[in-house]
Amino acid sequence: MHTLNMAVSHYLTVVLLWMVIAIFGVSIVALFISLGFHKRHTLKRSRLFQQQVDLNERALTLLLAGDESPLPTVHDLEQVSALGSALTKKLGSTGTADPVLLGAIRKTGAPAIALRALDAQDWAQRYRAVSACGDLRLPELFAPVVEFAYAEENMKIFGICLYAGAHLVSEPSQVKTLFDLTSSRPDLSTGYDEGMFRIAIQSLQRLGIAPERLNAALEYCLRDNRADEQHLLALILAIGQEQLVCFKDTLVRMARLRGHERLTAATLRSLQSMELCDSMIGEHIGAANLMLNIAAIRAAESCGPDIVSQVSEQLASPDFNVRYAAAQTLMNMGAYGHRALLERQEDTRPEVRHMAAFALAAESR
Amino acid sequence: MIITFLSIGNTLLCFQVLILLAFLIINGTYTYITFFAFRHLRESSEAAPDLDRLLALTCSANLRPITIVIPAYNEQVTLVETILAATQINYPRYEIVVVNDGSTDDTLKCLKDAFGLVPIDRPERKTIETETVRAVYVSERLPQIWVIDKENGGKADALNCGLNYSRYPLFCAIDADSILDPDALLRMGHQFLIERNLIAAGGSVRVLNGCVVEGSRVKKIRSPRSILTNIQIVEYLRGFMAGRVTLGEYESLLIISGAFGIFRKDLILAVGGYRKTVGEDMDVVLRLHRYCVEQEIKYKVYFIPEPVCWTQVPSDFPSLLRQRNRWQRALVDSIWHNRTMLFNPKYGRVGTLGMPFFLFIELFGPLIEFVGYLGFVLFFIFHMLNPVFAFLFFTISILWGMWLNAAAVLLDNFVLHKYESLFDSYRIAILGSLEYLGYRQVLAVERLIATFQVSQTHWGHADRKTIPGRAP
Repeated sequence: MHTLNMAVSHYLTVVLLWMVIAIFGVSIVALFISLGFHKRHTLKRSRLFQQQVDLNERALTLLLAGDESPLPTVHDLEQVSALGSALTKKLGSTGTADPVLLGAIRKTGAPAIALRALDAQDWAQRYRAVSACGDLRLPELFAPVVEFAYAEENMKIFGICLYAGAHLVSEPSQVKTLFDLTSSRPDLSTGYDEGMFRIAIQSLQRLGIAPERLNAALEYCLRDNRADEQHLLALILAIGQEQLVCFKDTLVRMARLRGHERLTAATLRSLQSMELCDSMIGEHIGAANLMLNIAAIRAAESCGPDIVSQVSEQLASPDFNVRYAAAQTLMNMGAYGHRALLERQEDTRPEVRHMAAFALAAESR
Repeated sequence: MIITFLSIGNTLLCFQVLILLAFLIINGTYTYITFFAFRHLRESSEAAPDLDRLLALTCSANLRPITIVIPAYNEQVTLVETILAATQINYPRYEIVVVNDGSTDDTLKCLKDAFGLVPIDRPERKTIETETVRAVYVSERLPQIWVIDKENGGKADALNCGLNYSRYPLFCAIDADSILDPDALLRMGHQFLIERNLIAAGGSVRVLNGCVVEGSRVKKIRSPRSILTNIQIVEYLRGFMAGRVTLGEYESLLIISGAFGIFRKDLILAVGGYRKTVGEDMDVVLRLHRYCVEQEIKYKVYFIPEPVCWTQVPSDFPSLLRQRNRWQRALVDSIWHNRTMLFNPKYGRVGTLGMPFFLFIELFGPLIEFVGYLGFVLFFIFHMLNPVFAFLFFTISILWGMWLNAAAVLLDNFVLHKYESLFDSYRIAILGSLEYLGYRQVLAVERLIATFQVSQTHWGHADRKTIPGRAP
């Protein structure tokens, strides 16, 4: 230490160190104070936001009851978000805004503010702006949101664009637009767009659009050879989940035509969701591809007694997961399945007996 | 300047300068990391997707199903609670595989009683060699719960066994004394859904001690009274909210905590599963990086702060020392086994940034700290210490540390699961700062010892406490 003092002036060092200490001391105090302020600010902000949501909710209640008083005017993105949240709370994620309500929303000035915020430098602001656009449910925001999504690089924001876009769908052809949008991003992962398709289909159903009118758009998507297989899978699963039974033949035809295993498995899952039976199910029970085999076994639940023996044979599969799926399916097939399980309890092969006994025990519970 | 000093042969001065430089580099790095994390978390907090939106978009059958593997060795005190918490998560399709790693207490009996286990003839797909499996059970009441009873082989072996039995493409490893937040998997699964190239993701691990738990869920996030636990809370906040956020953003994340991480199963199998070492969590992430680079696979490894797993930290000093001893051995072992990646530009930022960070800041940091303390004592004994300078330097180092602690507590405000009361935040920041009065010094010595015990592969006994807020 003595030697250091020879190199650098002792007093200068001490003064410098005291200055550093002072800076640290002040900044620690500042951090502690800002910690308190930040907590208070966050609390105040969330309270204010909640008040705005409540205010909007009350105004929406009056409006929906036939009162002609306008919704509160909004001045910033925070207030737009509050209006969006109130709309979601009031109408639910599946509710529809009628023309009077849409007119009232337009008069608040919210759409212009949300669209302006799409140009923000801060990605979080852009994210909130897109979310707000979706919550406002104004059909005219669909085009700007899709256009914005094409130019947006941030995957989180792109994802929320799909969500907002699906909420804003008002015509069947817009499903096609969304499909093209998802196809434009090869880095979008498996199935993210299934949720989007489902919301879009729900949006159209809420507007009273018959599923048959979706035909042209869905046929376009299903037949698009450029489309990534993942997006097709998502669409097929969405059709199943939304129970669009009128598309059963289209799905089966397309799966047969393309012959891709993953598409076929998705179609089988879709049939299972729609609780529909098709000869395609029986054709794939016992398939060499485990994924296909299991999907077919699970889809067999909705089929009649003819398929029981085929499912029952799978109890002897060398793969445990296939045996397990077969046992579960038979458990859910009612009297026919129960009878098959009883028969298999007498099987000579121990693994079959074991699985049948396990299923029967589970069934009795 | 250093050359001039050397030329006059003043090695003592050189030593002082080196220690000072190391101090500045280490603290400077942590300060930069804190600032970076501050900016990132502030932005993310504005855009954290709310749960309704996540559910709407991820109600997908395509949301990849997850196998949760819980390795357990003598965990009768906490395991049932951990599994119960895991059964309450929001996720469309998942299974829980509990691997009883030859427990010598009543762990298996507790599981049988709690979940009504029945034996099932489920063959093992022996992709990775493990110790012998004695029996497989499935729960009568909750069929997504599977229990594998096997001979003792260590945590890595238990995880490998879980891998062999897992059916789903994503693999989540959690500790037997942890509580998974109900939305944690959904938030993680959402990232796997968006990012096609994501191969592994780690969530936040937060301290359970002091929190109020009701119905296997954390209801109130509170700080405990114990000084030791508060110091650890600050360490966790610094490590996760600052360190991992920044390293993740710099594509240099080398560790996903064994307490909570999700991996693509096919890739873990491709690298041969977990290696039998005390630091299997860091080692597997390093080997995943190496494998993907060598196989030219496009990949991403993320840290996501929103999903949370709550874990109990040691509440007594001997347990803490054992834990830190193990962590240091794990660090040394992982870096040594993957040393070909160190400073190797072929491995991108992992080799040129992540590995050097862990080597110089995390591994050598405590050693340098120890040498600094030793020098301090020696200079004092030999009357070579300028008391004014020493006092000022020591004060600065404490104040800088306090600043980092206060900043870490501030970072906590930007995440979803935060300490709501200002009193709790102040208590953590203030009590956490007491680490400079003995705690750090003792840990520095322990970590120094651990560095030379790297050949030891034992875990050390861990005393488990019942989950707070629950009856024992």
